[in-house]
Amino acid sequence: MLVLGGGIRGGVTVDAVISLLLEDLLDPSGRGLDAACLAGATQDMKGRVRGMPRYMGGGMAALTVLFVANGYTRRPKEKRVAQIEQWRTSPVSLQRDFVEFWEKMGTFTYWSRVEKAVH
Amino acid sequence: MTAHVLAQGGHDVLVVEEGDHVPVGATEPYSLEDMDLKWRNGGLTPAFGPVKVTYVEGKCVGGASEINAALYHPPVPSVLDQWAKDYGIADFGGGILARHIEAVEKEASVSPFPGSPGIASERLAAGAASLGWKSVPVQRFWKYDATNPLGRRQSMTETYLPRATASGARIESGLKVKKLVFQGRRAVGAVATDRDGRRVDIRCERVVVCGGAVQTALILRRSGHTRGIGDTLSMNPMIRVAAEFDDRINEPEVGVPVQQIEAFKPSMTLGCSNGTLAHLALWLVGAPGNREEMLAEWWRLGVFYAKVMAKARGKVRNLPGFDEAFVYFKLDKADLELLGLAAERLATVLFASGARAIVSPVPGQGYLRSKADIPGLRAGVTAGKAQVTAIHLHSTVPMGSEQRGCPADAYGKLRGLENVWVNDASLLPDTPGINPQGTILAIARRNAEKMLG
Repeated sequence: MLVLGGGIRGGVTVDAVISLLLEDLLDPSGRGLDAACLAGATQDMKGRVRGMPRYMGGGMAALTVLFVANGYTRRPKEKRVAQIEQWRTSPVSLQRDFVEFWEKMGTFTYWSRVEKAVH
Repeated sequence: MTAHVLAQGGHDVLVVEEGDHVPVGATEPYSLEDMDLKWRNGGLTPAFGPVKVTYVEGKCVGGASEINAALYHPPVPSVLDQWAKDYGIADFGGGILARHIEAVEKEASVSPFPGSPGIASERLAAGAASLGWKSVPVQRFWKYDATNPLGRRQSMTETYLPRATASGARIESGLKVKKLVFQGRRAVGAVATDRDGRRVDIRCERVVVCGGAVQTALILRRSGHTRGIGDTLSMNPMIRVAAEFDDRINEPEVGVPVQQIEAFKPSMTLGCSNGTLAHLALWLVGAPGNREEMLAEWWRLGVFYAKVMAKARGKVRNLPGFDEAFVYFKLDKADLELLGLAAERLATVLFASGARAIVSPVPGQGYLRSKADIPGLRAGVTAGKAQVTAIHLHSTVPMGSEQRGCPADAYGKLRGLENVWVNDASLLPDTPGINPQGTILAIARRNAEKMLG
């Protein structure tokens, strides 16, 4: 269950879903990301979705719920990565767009955090 | 510009801006913080259509001048003359705008990059020269002095807005104009909301809308003035690629490298783009191999662009129940073919400049490692598979004659209304094919002087 308010109530928080999604997209082989930068990028991505035009933000939230609905967060990493690949190559453009958005913006926010940490 | 000219001319001027006042230097250009504070929707502004196109808009005091690369091109007289003819714009053309162009160059400190324009620019210039293509380091709205050799951006908050306030103009930031209020054919004010969503009523005698091509059209349409508004949006689509070199190409201290290839202007421009670590990472998405290892040697990576003048036109609409603009833009086949050709030429000049590999913007294509790989890139872009971004949005309220269907007259005054003007990029009847800030400012200066009477 995705708890959109952010608290844990026998379910998974939005933060946890975003963090896992970024981890799988940015580091599919599991070599390891910087934990502080990942945490920062997770917050940044929440802000990105909130800042989207409303007619897009609602759709993005709905797609995220759909993406995690089949137990994504409980699966082992290799199966999560496989699910992402399935959406990436899906004939449904909305699914491909979903992966593209999280991968590109996730990459940008994560490396923004790395850049900030370096400086 | 408009506030400056009108306030200096003795008018009581109130500038209303939705975004915040973020001084130049308060944020790192193109950083996440910069995007959050100055860019509309944090930079997530898409145009819908068969090919997805993302564009950016400034949402801050000073608008786009605060977030762009500050590149300056003098308006091209022949283009202005052609607009005068094609759109029936009276008292307009290269000769008429000349004194305004000269004034803008002086008032906004248009300057060449002092000394060497940097390694990326030099490499691109050498590559272009080897192909017989003309390239130049473009001037910028930038001021240099002995205490700051890297200089300072001369955006609106550094130039015309301080002059406007010195002449008595007031600036209200954080106020979003929802719509104009009319009594008959006269605008008598505007309804706005503050940062907390509270309604603010503004009374005025005259209105000049300068919200940029999308927001200007949106405000007018929300106000019930829709005829010819937001129907002819033009923009310059572009393809960006990351390229890897054997040695240093990236110098963050230089900012956006200023070299541009002019050989194919106005229909096509090739140049350097912003190459911070986060932007490099973004343009490496989809590239095979270890991104961390590549980024560890970020100084060997650069981002470059190919931009074209699209013939297609888009639309700006206000969706019922939503606050934001809905932008539709359909790149046509000819535009995509031109973009494919531009991508081919960009790859050609990058290899000629010493690039070892180019990350293809076409998903699944990986790297281009030699000229033999270029046709695949062109085919992918032409087929609309590559990610397309766009800059330089114009033409949503084109000026010109009534016979040509232009909603604004030769000086930006809206037809059918007694006291509403537009004076921004929306007025340009077409894309000028160059970085447009100089053209927009010169036209705005001319029009504002006319408003003084």
